[in-house]
Amino acid sequence: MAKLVVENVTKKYGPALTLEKISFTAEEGQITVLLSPPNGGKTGICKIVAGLDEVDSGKVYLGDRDITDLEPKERRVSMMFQKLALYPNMNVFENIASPLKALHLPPSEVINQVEAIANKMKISHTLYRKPGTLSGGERQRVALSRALVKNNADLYILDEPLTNLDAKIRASMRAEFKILQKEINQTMLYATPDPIEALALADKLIVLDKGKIIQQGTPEYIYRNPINKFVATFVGYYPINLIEGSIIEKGEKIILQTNLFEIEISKLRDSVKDHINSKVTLGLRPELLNVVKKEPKVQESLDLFYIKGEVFEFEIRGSDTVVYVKINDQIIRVLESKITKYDIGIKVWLQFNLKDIYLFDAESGLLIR
Amino acid sequence: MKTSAFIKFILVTLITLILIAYFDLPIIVMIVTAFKQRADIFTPVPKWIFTPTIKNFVDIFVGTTTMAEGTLAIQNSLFFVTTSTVIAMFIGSLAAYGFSRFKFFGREDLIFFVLAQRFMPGIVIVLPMFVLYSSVGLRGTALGLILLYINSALPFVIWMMRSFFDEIPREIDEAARLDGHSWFTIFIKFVLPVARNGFLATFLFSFIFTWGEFLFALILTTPESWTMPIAIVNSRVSSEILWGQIAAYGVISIIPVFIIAIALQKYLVRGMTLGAVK
Amino acid sequence: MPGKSRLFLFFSLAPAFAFILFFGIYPFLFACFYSVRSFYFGLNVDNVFTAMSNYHNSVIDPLFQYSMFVTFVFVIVSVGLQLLIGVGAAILFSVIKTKAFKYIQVFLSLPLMMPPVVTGFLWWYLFNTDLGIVNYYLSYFGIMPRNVNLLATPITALASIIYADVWMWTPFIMIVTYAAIQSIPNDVMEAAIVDGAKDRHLIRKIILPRIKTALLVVLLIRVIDAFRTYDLVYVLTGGGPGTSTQVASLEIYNTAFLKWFLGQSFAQALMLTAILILVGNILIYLLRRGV
Repeated sequence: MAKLVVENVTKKYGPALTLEKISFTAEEGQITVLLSPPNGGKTGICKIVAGLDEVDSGKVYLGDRDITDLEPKERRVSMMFQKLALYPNMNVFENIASPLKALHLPPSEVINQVEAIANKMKISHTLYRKPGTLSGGERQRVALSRALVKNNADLYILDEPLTNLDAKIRASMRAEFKILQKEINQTMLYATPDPIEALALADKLIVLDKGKIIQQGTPEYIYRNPINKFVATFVGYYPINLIEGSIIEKGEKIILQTNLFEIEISKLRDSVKDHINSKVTLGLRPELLNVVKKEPKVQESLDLFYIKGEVFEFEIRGSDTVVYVKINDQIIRVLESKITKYDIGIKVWLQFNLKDIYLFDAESGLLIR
Repeated sequence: MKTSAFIKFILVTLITLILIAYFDLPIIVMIVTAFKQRADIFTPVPKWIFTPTIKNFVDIFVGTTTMAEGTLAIQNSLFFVTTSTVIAMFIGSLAAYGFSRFKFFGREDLIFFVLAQRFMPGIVIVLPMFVLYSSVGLRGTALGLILLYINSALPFVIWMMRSFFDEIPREIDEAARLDGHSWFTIFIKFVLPVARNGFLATFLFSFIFTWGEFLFALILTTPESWTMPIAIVNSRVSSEILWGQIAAYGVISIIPVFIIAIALQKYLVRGMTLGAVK
Repeated sequence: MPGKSRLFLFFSLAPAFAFILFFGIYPFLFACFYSVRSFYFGLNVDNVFTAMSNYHNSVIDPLFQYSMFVTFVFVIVSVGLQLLIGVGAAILFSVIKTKAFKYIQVFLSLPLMMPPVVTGFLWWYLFNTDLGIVNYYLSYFGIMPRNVNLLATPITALASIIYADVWMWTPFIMIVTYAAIQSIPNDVMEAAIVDGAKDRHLIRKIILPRIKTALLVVLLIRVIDAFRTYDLVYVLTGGGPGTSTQVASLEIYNTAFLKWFLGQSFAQALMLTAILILVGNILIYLLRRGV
């Protein structure tokens, strides 16, 4: 177990992708998640850390060792591949045993370790079958076993380990993986394109886009304080609602004016004072919105806003309800964590709290507050 | 619809029969002739019904007054061709793997250089080799011919095997590297077994090309190191043309190739298409 | 690239390139060097520098000129016929949509597996005036008198060689073309058929554009090999009657081993190489441009 430090790594991957000055630290015993849309650069970082790709410039340290120019096998890292890369000509036992055989362990030791991990991963019954005959979930477990069987590794890299599974198995594997991770307690670098997976698993989250690190921090911090519109839209359970508008001053009051509504945000004066009379984008997370069916009483507290609209559509997803509220011509998504039925077209009021609104500079996309 | 299906059936059958007759009848004639007695061959009207004999084959292995025995040439051919093909497969696959897995400066030019070897007429290679081998005593030796055969199989092997390796996901190599295996182990134990079909197809065609090779053997062999094609050609230079024995030679010469081809039938097409079809 | 990878790369390429450099470059340089000298093997003739005279003498030598002419005729007619028959049959089998070809292709490929020398002998026997079935059945059906020796007149001798070469190599083109057509995605073909495309339209607009790369590769392989043809001609006619079927390889061989004038044969061989490279590069250019 050791700390991974990536310092100013730059690498050109052809015209579509260049990793630019990537710097981050993966703390010992923690799970650090690289999150980006496809082709955002996470696989490249994994391969560079694993030693499969060379850096153009920059350094990679593992513990107190500079591993930038080492061969993969000298780095003491283990990796699970997105495409799994199981050896099709070998059976499951031989696949899992491969890292142990490279260490020239005695055969009895190899058998013990393979059987132990196979038990833990619940694939003992498949040991003497070829990967081609396994189900998707079983193959995933074999690949994970092969990555974890090498127990002398300082770092475990998992490049989109759950991506190729269908949604149901993915959710259950995710839960299982979280338990497993607590159990083995190792330094892990975990790449995924799925924000829900990232939020669920990460001790530390690194959000990438187009080869650059956009934001890093704990999942809670990034969820609460997305640095820009991209992070706010991408990192979340449902896409955030974005409403164009501008901030104006009316006498003593500061007003956020959109073509849907106007609200007073004088309490945010300190945060928005540099943006008065400029265009902004309002962000409202669906899970922080509520739908109220009865006309609300006069606002008791200035911090709660009610906007009138009508129900355009709703979907019940398991124990949640997604309500689409139409205000003027824009549709706002609301996530309610209960089952509610609506008549289409009825009047409702959208309720949200002043502290839950995000304001972005319309031009740069950066978070104002 | 029924009549059109019937017409299609007739058409397909007809074309199939014509093609098979066109391409296989001559070979059937050869096989039939190999089992004919001399009297059945020298008839003005082709004889399709006759008493078969294996005398022609016996003559090849024992020899006659007018024809030297051919056992040695058969042994030579088997030995030269098998040895050179196996070595070329190994060396060529290794190079193909290097070409497939590493990007380096001038790679495309080197690959083209390999292919360009096929543009050189055999005679350009063999004449200088004739002079060289004569002066260093390699003319007429197994080693001299095997070396040349390895060389002439290499461009084909490299070209074919590279296209097969290119189809194997690089993640296989990468996973094996992270497991801690050396490049050589990865090549032998992880990649080559996955490329097995392509390897067999390439082997089959290298074997066929070398097995039928004539020009190098004609110029560089002595009677002790004659290969079968040379022995066949030389059995003509006698008072009488020994059609029966020549046909028997022909049958013997196609046997190993046919056996390999039928065993590897599945890979035959792949070998022929040479990466022309992706 | 880390040191060990670099080392492996070197050792993976080194053995193959040791061979290719030695057996490719050395003969080539050797041939270049002696092609400008009066180099007679084993004969007591002064081996001196003669500048371009070997090349000059070859170019003005009517025999060499003729051998180049015969070679070109052979290559164009033979490869042309192979393409015509091979591609034709492959398209036919694809258009009438039958799996029959899959089952018979191993039988069709038998000629390809014959050692060329055996093929030469086989056709020599089949074309034999007294014993061969070709003459027998041609006369039986009244196409040609029995006693015509096909290998004894220049035109029929060349035609016979071409016939044998076509027999040997058409299956190759047929099988590659068929595989290329099969690799066209099924939906493309079906969409065209559903759209009511006529067969002729299907072939010209759907099939041919998609197999042209494969066809060019095959053409490249066949043209290069046909230019170098030696064994088949050597056995079937030996260049005869007279020198009427003396292809370039045979002519070069004779210069070397009948006259023992290796200097001149090198000059001739290098000129043949130059032609091959030229023709090859034209085809490769077409291939890269994606005609």
